[in-house]
Amino acid sequence: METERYKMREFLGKLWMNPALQKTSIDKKENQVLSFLRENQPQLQKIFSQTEYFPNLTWNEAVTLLLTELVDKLLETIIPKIDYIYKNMMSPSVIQSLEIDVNIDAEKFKTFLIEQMRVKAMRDHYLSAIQVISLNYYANYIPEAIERHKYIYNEFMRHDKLKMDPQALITYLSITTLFRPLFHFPVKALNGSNEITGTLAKSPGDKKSFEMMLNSLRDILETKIGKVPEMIFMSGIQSNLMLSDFPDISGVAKFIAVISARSADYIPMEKKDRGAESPDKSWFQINRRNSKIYGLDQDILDELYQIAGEKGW
Amino acid sequence: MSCIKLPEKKVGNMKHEVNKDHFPSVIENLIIITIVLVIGHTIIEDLGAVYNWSHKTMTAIMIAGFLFDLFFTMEFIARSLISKKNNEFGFYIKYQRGWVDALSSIPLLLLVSGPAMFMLLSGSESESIGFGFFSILKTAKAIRVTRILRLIRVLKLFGKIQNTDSNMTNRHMGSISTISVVTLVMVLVITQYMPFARVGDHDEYLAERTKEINTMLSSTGENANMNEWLKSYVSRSKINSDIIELKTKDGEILFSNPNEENLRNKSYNQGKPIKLANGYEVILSYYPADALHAKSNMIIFLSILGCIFSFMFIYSRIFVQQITDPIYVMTKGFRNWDYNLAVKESDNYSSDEVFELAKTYNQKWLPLKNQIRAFRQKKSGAQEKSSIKMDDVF
Repeated sequence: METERYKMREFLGKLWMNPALQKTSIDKKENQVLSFLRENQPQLQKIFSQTEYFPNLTWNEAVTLLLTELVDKLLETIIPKIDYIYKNMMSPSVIQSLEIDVNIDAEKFKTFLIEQMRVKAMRDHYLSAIQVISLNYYANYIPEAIERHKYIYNEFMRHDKLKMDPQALITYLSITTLFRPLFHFPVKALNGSNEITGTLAKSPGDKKSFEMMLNSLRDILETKIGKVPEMIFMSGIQSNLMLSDFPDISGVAKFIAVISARSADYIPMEKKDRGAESPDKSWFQINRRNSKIYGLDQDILDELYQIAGEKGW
Repeated sequence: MSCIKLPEKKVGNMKHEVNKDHFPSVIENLIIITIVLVIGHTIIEDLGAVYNWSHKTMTAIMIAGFLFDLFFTMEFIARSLISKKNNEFGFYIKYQRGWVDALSSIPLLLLVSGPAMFMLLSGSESESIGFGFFSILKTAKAIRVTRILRLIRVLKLFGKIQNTDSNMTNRHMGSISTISVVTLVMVLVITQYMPFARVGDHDEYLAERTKEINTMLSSTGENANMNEWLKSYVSRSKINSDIIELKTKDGEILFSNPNEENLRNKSYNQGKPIKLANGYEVILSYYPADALHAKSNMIIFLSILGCIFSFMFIYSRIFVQQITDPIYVMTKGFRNWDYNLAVKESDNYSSDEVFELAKTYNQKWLPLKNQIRAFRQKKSGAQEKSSIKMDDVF
């Protein structure tokens, strides 16, 4: 089996390093590999049965081995990023600087994140959240937005009452972003004697079910990682909601929603043509017009568009 | 910027490429080098006329000019034969600036350097006035004008300098340069036929100088002291540097130019004396007229070079920024679903058609495309098409 694992790792390495994927973000890379498997199954089945590949494995066994190796490969890539977040954002000194009561057990939280990464349904959302933090959008835009004292500043300072300096705010937003994927976390809740199973993503319109699932999620989190501050937890969840349906969500949630949407469309090493606007400015310009459709805050998009334009981002 | 598809012209039932070369790249590069050399040669030739360089030097320059003209005539003939063979002759003449090749080679060889070379080889250089060719040249009055056509070769150089990947930009730069160069050359040619505008005309110069010298001689009268004064005056004054020899009616040589050898080759009346007032005779050189003409040539030549370089480095940039780049970005955005960069709009030229289009593209098409993409992604779920090809892996 060790030989097969080695061969599979080698095969996966070839897929991973494929030039067509070099400009693809890590979450999309996995989907590209899965699509490749799906699209080329008949040919791959023939090739895998050859002696130089996996003659002793059935197709299903080979696919299982490939998926295991794929998850390991993903974790191998993503764990250093989690470590970076853990070291820089979850350290006691940083948490203390937020001036809010955060009782998250950082070590347990890291374990929880890695555990979630092993589940495909959650992995996509966590990879996106980690991508949002890794791309430094908060670090780039927050100091500029705070300095301007305009809409974003008012949302954070007046609406959300976050009296933090920009650096602490970046940390706060990053931590909150890590709770955004929980919107898709499968939970069980009791509605009287009926057990409801599902995710928050499937029941945002049903206020009662939504509340029950939220409570259930809070309990699960408390058991797994400690007590999460309500502001962080709720903003993380709210960042998935459509602003048009939930106009009262926090400023942090609105901001994270915008930045997460931006990160999802991020193209690594995107070449900026001479007659074209910068990638960020282009994206904010397009999404200002589509803000209502995607439930994003147009005022935040407007301000970020201006910042991107001035900074050439 | 990647290259927009090469434009093709349709002539009859055949498609031809505007930028297609006729020769292997080694020869095409040799032609570019020769064009640069001929630009230098043209300047040197005019400088030689302005500073009245030695006959030996001017002969060498003339031989070089002949070789250049021969080379470019051969080039034109070869290109014509190749394009004719491919049934593209009309296309070559019309779209690949074959007419520039023709105009800047054959007339020069036949009317300028060819006859000059023939005279040199036949040893009839000094008796050129009697030579058969000369009457043709004189009638056409082209000998000193056609030389200007060499300037058109600068256009060929421009055609070779592809300053962007955009064929449209290069073609437009080529067109505007062609129009400018040909206009300037035509202005210079036409002014040669306008009495009030022509510069360095031999006949006019002769009439003017004869009048001036006559005035000088009439005022001095004729006696020994006056002749001494004249001798001294002519040798000292720069304006009279075109006088090769001045004789009294008795045949006494009052003045003989120390630069006589150089000036004799550019003398009126085949170097025979011209009769003046009070019986004086003068042998006069027309080199100042040629120098004046060469100066005006150089002004036009430098203007052409200035225009070409301005078009190449300034206007082409403006053209690219205001026309090519927005069109390039929009074309890419229309063709490629994953390309979502907005076009840079111009505040100063927002009413330009290109920027009106860019605005519509940015405000209507890109958001709509974004919605279509999102819809498609939602419809297909995570099952997007893989970019990995089997051939890349195995």
